[in-house]
Amino acid sequence: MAVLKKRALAEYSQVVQEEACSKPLQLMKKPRLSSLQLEDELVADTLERLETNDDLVAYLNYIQRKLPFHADDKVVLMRKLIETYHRSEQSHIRLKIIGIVGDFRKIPKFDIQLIINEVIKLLSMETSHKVCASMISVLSKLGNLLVCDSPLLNKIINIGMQLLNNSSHLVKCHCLSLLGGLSNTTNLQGENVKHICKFTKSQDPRVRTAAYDALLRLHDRGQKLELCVYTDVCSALQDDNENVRQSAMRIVWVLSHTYPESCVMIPGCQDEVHLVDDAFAKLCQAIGDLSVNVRTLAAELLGSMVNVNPHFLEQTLDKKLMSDMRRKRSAHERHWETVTSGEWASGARWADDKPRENLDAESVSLIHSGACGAFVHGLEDEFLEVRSASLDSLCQLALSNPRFATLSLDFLVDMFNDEIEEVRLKAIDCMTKISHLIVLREDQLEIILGVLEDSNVEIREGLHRMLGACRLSTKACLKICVQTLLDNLKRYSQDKRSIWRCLQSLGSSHPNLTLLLVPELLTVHPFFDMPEADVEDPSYVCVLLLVFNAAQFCPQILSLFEEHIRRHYRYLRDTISNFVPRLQLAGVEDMETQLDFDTNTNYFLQNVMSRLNQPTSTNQIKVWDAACNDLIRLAQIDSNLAHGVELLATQLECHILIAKVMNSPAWIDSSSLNAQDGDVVKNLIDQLQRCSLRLQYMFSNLSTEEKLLIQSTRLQAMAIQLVYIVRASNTSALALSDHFVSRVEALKGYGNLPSFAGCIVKEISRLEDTKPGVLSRILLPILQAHIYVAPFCLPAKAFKVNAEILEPTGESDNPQKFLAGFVLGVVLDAEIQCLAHPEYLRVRVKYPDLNAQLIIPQESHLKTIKQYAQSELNENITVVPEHRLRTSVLVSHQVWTESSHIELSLVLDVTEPEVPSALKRWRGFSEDSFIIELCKPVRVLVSPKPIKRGI
Amino acid sequence: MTDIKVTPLGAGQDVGRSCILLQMGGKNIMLDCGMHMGYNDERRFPDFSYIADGNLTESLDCVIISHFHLDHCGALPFMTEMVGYSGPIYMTHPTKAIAPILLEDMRKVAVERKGETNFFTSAHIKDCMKKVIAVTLHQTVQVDSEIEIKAYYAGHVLGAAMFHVKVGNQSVVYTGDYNMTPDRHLGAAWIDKCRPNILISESTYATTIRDSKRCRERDFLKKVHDCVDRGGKVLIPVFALGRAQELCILLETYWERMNLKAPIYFAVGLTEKANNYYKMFITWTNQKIRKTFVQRNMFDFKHIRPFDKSYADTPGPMVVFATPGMLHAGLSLQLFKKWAPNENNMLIMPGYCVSGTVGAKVLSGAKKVETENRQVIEVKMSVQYMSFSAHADAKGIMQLIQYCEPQNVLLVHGEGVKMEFLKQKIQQEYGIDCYMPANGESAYIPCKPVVPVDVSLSLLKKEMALYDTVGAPDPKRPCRMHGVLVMKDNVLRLMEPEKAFGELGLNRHAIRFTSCLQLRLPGSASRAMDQIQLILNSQNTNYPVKPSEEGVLNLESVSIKMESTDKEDRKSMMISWALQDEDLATWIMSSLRQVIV
Repeated sequence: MAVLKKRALAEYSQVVQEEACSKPLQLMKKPRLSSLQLEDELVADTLERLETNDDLVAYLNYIQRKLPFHADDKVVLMRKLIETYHRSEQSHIRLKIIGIVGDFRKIPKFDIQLIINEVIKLLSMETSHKVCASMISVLSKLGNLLVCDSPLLNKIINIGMQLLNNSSHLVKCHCLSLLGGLSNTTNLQGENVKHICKFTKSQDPRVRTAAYDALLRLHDRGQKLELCVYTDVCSALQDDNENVRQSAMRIVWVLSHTYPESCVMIPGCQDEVHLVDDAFAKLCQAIGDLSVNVRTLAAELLGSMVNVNPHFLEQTLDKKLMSDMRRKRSAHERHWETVTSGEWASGARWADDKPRENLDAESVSLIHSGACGAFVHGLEDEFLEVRSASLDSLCQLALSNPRFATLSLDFLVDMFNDEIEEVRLKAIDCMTKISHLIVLREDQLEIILGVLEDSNVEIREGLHRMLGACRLSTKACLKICVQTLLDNLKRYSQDKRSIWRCLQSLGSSHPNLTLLLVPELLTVHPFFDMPEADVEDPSYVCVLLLVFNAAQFCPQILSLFEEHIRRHYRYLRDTISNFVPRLQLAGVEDMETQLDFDTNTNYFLQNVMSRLNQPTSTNQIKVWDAACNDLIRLAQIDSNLAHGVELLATQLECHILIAKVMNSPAWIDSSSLNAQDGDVVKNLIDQLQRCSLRLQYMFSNLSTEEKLLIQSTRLQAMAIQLVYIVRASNTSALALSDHFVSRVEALKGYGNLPSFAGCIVKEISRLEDTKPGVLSRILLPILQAHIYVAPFCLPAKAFKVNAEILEPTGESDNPQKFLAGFVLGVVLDAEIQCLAHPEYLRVRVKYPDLNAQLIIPQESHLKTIKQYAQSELNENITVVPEHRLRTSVLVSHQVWTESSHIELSLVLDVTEPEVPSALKRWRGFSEDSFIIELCKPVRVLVSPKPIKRGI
Repeated sequence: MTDIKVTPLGAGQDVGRSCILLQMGGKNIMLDCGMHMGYNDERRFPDFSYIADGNLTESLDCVIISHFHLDHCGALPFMTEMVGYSGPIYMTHPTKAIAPILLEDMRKVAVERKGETNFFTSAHIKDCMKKVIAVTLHQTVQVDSEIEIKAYYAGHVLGAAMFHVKVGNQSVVYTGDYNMTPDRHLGAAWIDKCRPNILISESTYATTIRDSKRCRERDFLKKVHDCVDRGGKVLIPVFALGRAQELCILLETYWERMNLKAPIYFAVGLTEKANNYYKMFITWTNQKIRKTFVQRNMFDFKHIRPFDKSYADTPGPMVVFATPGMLHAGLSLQLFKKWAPNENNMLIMPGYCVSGTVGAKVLSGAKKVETENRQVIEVKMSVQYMSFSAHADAKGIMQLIQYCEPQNVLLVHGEGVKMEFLKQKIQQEYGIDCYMPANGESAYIPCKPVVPVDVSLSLLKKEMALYDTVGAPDPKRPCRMHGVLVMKDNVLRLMEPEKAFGELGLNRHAIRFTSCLQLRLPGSASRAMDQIQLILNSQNTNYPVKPSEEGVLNLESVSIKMESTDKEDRKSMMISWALQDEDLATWIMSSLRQVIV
């Protein structure tokens, strides 16, 4: 205290002589709102009662937070606000009020014209620039809600035009954006454009920027910008202010897309170029700009200018090198020469970069004319934002221009060596994207393969994908490729699957090159029997995968197989069937042909379907049960149909459960029967809930009808639960019924609802009162009418979410030790197919004491595996969206006497969408009823050790 | 005195001994104070007697050092302690930290090894450093009431800076050495559009445009990796500071990425001390290091360890950085002797070698090298040359010129012939003058005198408001400002007339001129007025004509009135204008005369 006092005195002593030093520190009092009785509805009168400005501001803030509210006296409140506006002398309060008045537009069915008229009235009297500006921005927001040609809109635009002459830059900027957002784009004259254009010459850079942005906005809204703007905009590219430069660049880009073919004179000579080329060159120059933001934007914009002249495009990768006035070749060119001359780099030539011919001093142009070397600079930039934007653009341009793709290859390969991992990864991705356009040379491949030693998994896997997609030129290429992949496998055994996949696609895309290598790879000798390789040897499996996948397109390979290879084929075809294609091998025909015949699954399926859709019989449940079992078995047999069939089976299961529940009398009457029956029903209902949730969340890629059908089934399940709670239990069902009604309301907009949902929607909309009792009385007859009515059809395209934990494998017997109470990170690596709701994905950790934890994986750890255009060969493979979760699960526990297993599994936690906050504390749900398991749990042996003390 | 005079005492059409004397606005400023490494006599220091005999303090206002390389700061202790200068010296924080290490090292070599006398002592270095004022990037430092300096990032080495020196209305940018392409540990040079009168730029690579550095790096890494995989030893001779750190970072990250296990050694010396400073001055490094240093400081090398002499004979692969860089003495030569006969080993020269040194001989391909004691070494190891240079190339220099938009360029720190080429290019492509004075030669750069006038803010705002209300901005429309120019205490001020009169205690008088024109116009007076208004409007868009009541036209302060005379088609037109609109009125008169009379 004493110190504070001293300091306060020291600082203010020369200014003010304080009368009372008892309170050296004055904390600003937080305005107390409770005294104003805000709990009840917003009282317009309150505004008049407020005395101090602080209270007023606090109250205004409160009103703003409350918006949009359903108060009845909205108009009165607004009048009061405006009165307060007139009263207040401080501009910040007026600013606040204007903000609130503007926010009134969020109130449904509020008269917007009224607000606009009020604001316009106020605007004419306002003196503060800030308030003016805010009024204009409010007007512009409100104007967006008006119909196109209302007189009020014109009035707003006129006001905007007039206030452009205001002296404040803020007002001008807002006016410009108002004009950009509201003015009529249909008239061809573009008077508004001309007027806005004048402001691009303003002396204030902020106004210039706003003017260009308004032009852009007009363009977005469909106003064609005129060509004559181009020269002016180009001169703005040299503006001193970086924001102006950025906006101008965007306009140049827009113009280059609107008028690509029109001609532009090159200053200083008579030649003409197409506008798109000229704009391209201008944007390329911006890559050497002073500001990072401008450089990044330039690099981004370049990517979409695909219709630029290839000559200009190729220049972007060309930077005339010289040394002491003599032409020098770049390392890429030198490399290319050593390759083509057939001579390998011998090492000790330090002068191999020595300059060649003399250059004429006159002919060298140091300032890049046109696009020269833009990407070379962009890829070398200091900031990763620019580099990665350049990479994206380079890739985009290469995709549309194969020649450019070939040229850019060297540069992409160079980027594999970037210092920032993100950029390296992006370079690899880019390369994968353009891989179908390029053929890799041996020397290039060698550099690329060097990166396989990288210790980062992502990089290696990215590279595996890239290698799988690329085209190799020679047998030698394929050979080093395979060899390096095998080395890679030896170093990092966890890459096994990724390498398998890579070799699979390598094999199927290079059958003829593989043919040449088969004897060497499989150590087949014409005379001698070589020792049989071990089929458990991962690198041997790799080679086999390559060969088998090549063999499906090149039958000659089959004839080279020896007996043990055929055996291995059969083994691998059984164990990892999705990597091994079906081959026409002479010896194994008998086994394979079984599959080759029509397996009758379709016939069988139709059979089941027709049985299902027969008119209801007395023992319908038995029929369904049988069909359900059939379907589940069918899903196991035929992988092509599996997803759809499983969906059908789950749906069937739901309906079986529905029927079972409704057939049991205990459902609606708890009093009459014994407790045992009650438990059975409770269990059934619980099962039904889970089953319907599975149905709702595990399947994706459905048509609207299919989705509605699922919704309807879910609704049915919820209705059953509701009726059960109301009729047969003594818990309150208020929250549950509210939830149910909200679910039904969500379905309202759809046209052809399934019959059950349709009935419910109709009934509910007729209801005035949604009390549980009333609801259940209505629901009961509808439910009973729909027990056996469920049209079944097969959603053929459906996907079922499917997860597989690759790591940990659950095979290790070595416990992972850690200090009790501290954290252990268990590496989890999993593949998840068809994950439609990544936001609900959780990792569940179950401890031996039956404690379970749900862990939300970090967003960045869950990655979508990019699916690139498959080559023609694999066209029939349906591309399923795939996720990869690579994370470290944090495990912690108190001391155990010995090591024990914990279980890790992936689950969907649908509590959030399914349980509204009002139901959070309701005890009718069991603990894990909203958790859907995605895969079998994996067991990990851990052992928390006690902390040793006293070291 | 509007000329700026620049006199290089060193580095004029030459490399080494950078020392440039700048005279501007009556101030003398010394830019860099380096020594020449090629000489051992007095020629290695700049000729300070050119400035003044004896004490320099009176004739120099300040000294600015761009970075810690000895050819830019080597003569500093000599100048301050032995010649005598006690004025302010400016350099950046890292330079101030590292320069004494290098100076001390050089002193040791010169005095203890070569046995020179009349050299500065350790105490001199310390005393000299006490006079140094450290500056931060983009910090504006007021040297005295007129000189103002500001440092910009220059890349090149840690702490290298470009300096913007401002005296009055004139300003000069001195670049020191700079690098426009970022490298593994430093960013690229950056300067804003400061539009100086002169840009004094280095021009080491005036006639070179370099290839992308990525290829070079990749080659380097691949070669080292291959050699280590073979089990060979890699020797990289380096100079103590600068490139060595870059290569270390390069190898360190590569080792990390590729999970390599072979040891990397760094020969201990002054580098360890310097490395500490590299760790400290993180803000001066590039984006990557700055972003990741919270997790791990990149200069905390994990794989790079200090070298011990006994390691030289350890079998197995290793990579060693050793000084000196040209293989002429010291550890690098010893290791070279040991390892040269094995073809598995590799020598990588990252820099340029002076002819005559072992390094130069090996690079030129000699298979047998003779060392000082007649010993012949057989060179079987593979020899690689990798150029890692941190100077801007011709394109980079041009880019910097584009960035800061100077009115003149002056080239130093480069060979004369090469400068000639660049000079030509600059003149040709930017159309600005370029100078390249030799040592001791003065370049006089004429500058347009600028007379600054203070305008009162209220006047400016008032006039701006007038300008704004007229309509959309139009750069072609002249905008006139009405004020009174007051000269007081050698300062020019533009004031509002009322205020100026108030200050001077005078009454304000307005002069109005009135003239009468006889016109022949049919119709009534008001119709004639409309006609005139039409004519004026059609000719003149800058000033809108405002008709006011009672049939008077107003343009600025000009008002036009029409009176009918007795004759029908004769009208007399009265024009009246205030003094400030004399031009406008004359123009109106003449144009009306042309059309109507």
